[in-house]
Amino acid sequence: MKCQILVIILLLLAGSLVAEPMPEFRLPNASNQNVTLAELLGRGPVIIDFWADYCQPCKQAMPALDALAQKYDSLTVVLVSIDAPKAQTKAKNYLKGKNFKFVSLFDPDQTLAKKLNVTEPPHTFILDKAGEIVLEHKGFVAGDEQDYEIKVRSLLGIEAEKGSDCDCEEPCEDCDCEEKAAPEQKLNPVQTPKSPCENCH
Amino acid sequence: MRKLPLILAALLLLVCGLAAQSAPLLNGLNEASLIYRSVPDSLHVYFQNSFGFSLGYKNFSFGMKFIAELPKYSTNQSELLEELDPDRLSLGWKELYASYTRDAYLIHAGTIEESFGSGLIFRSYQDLELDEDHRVTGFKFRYDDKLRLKALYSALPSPTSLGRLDLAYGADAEYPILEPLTLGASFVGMQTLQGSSYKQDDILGARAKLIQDQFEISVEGASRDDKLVAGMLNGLAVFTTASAYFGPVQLGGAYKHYDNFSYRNRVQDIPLANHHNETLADDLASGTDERGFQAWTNIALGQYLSLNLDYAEAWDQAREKQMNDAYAGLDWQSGATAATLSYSHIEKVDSALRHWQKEAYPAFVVSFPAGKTGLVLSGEFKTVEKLALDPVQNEYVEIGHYEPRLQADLSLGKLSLSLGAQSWWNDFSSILQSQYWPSVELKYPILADSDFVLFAGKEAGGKVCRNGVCRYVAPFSGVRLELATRF
Repeated sequence: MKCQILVIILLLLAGSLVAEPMPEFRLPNASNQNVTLAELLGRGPVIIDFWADYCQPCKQAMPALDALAQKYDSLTVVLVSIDAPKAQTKAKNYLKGKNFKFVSLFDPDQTLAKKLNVTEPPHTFILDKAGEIVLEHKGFVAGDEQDYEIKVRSLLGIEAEKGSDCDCEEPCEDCDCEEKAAPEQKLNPVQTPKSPCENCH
Repeated sequence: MRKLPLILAALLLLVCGLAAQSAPLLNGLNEASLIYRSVPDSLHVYFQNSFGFSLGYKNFSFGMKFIAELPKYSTNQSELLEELDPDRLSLGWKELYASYTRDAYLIHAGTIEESFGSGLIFRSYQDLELDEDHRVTGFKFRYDDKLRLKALYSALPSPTSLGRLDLAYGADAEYPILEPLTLGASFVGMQTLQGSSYKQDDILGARAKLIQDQFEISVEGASRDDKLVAGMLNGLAVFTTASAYFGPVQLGGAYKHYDNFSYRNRVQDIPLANHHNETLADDLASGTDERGFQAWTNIALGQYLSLNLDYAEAWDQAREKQMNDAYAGLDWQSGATAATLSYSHIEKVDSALRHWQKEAYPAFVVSFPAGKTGLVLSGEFKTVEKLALDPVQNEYVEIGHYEPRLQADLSLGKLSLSLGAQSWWNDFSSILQSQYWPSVELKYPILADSDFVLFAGKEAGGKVCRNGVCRYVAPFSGVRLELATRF
């Protein structure tokens, strides 16, 4: 028994030294059509957020994730429901009612969730455009979306928005231009968002 | 034993070699808990550990989970043990699988989670809410493209004969015959050990799903051929749902008709078609004899407010058992602030047993950040009224209570703190004598991938959301130290 445990520990140590790509998956979307990881990659960063209909923090995270999806054109936000098949209608209806800009997928048999050890929603992964996991975060409390945005901006090659990155004539360290940027503002990966300086002062 | 270092070295070389060639994906989670439980049994202090990982390389994946639960306590509050039951000790591999995936093909051996359609005919799963494992073990084949094919052959422990197995096998196919219309068919065979022989159940099912932007309809029907029981009527199940979307207004409905269709509760997940997931009668397995409908609407009232209305009725063939289930909720959500004002109503009648029960509970749930302190306050207040017929007195007895719950979540840098208090008041005059569940939970990430959690107090069990994470917990009283490590 000790030998088996030792073998497993050594294997895990060896394995943990290597890279962390997102495992390939093939999951149905709300229209019952399969979506694969390969189809989501290449355009830009991808946020994959596991949620369930019974999870209130998951629902609180959605508007924040939607704001990111609206703000960064090349960002893809994927919501993966881990609800049971019989509860999927409820989950679908919730998303339909909100009109979010998400790719919504369903993983009722936990095929992807199990590979990523997702047991308690919400559980969020941010991938670069090659599919490497660059951030993993469990849970959601207000403010977490700022960490997501920092990571997304770094993947897009956009510098931080606060302070010197504001286009303000005067330094505005206390203002958060990012929060005040117009929600419909679209960015491509090389653009820096225009700061609404009138709101900063 | 002298070969062991060589084997280890070979395995290490293999893993490192694989890493050099391509990127194997390893994901693991270890959850260790040291628990002091304040119940009067002989094992107050004990240790639990769950260790699981999945390893993927190219088209192969392999996963396992070892769980030591010493002891494994029930999720039922009424089962707090006075003395430790030896059967409650549990130790072993709870999950073990290997699979090969290539393009749309999958071959899988080991622990299986799978469902056919809505789960009405077959579903092998873990029930997190009740802490029950209904997974089967066996082989599975899947082809998942435009045509979706699944086939499995598996075994599961017999509930009547310790150490012996029942068998479950089946196949499911689904194809989008026209662009919005998908047709599917399933077959499941169940062999259940009864005494010294196996009882055979053959289940055939068909389903259709029509999905368009504005509406969605699904119909699922199945028949059951119970081969052993002479004179037994064959089983039948029909479940259908429909949803339509008209801008801010959503409308939907469901219909169910189940006759003698509860062949194995552990590998079925029968849709109940009501808001609160209530069975027709507390002592009747779902699917035995049940008909019913559900109607619901969701109306968005502006950007932040929405109204949910849901009504369902169910009855048996003889109309001796009847129930209705209603829910009305007004949800408001803006950023981190959310509030729900709701009213729930569940009524069950069994005229044969002269039993009538009604539960009605208004509830108010609110969660909001307190300024810029990082503090999030949430509260819930339920008023539960029950009316039940006392068979001895032959009169209806009213039983009511209040369920208040308060919670404060606070983040101080990396430290997350959750303070909670829940109670059960029979009436306001006996508030001080009532049962209370106060609790405190501290969470701190000691390393990038390791969280340390300290819980102290009491919890009533069920779904809890603390510090932004939701999970199902068993009733508990005491102190718990947890260390969760991801790798």
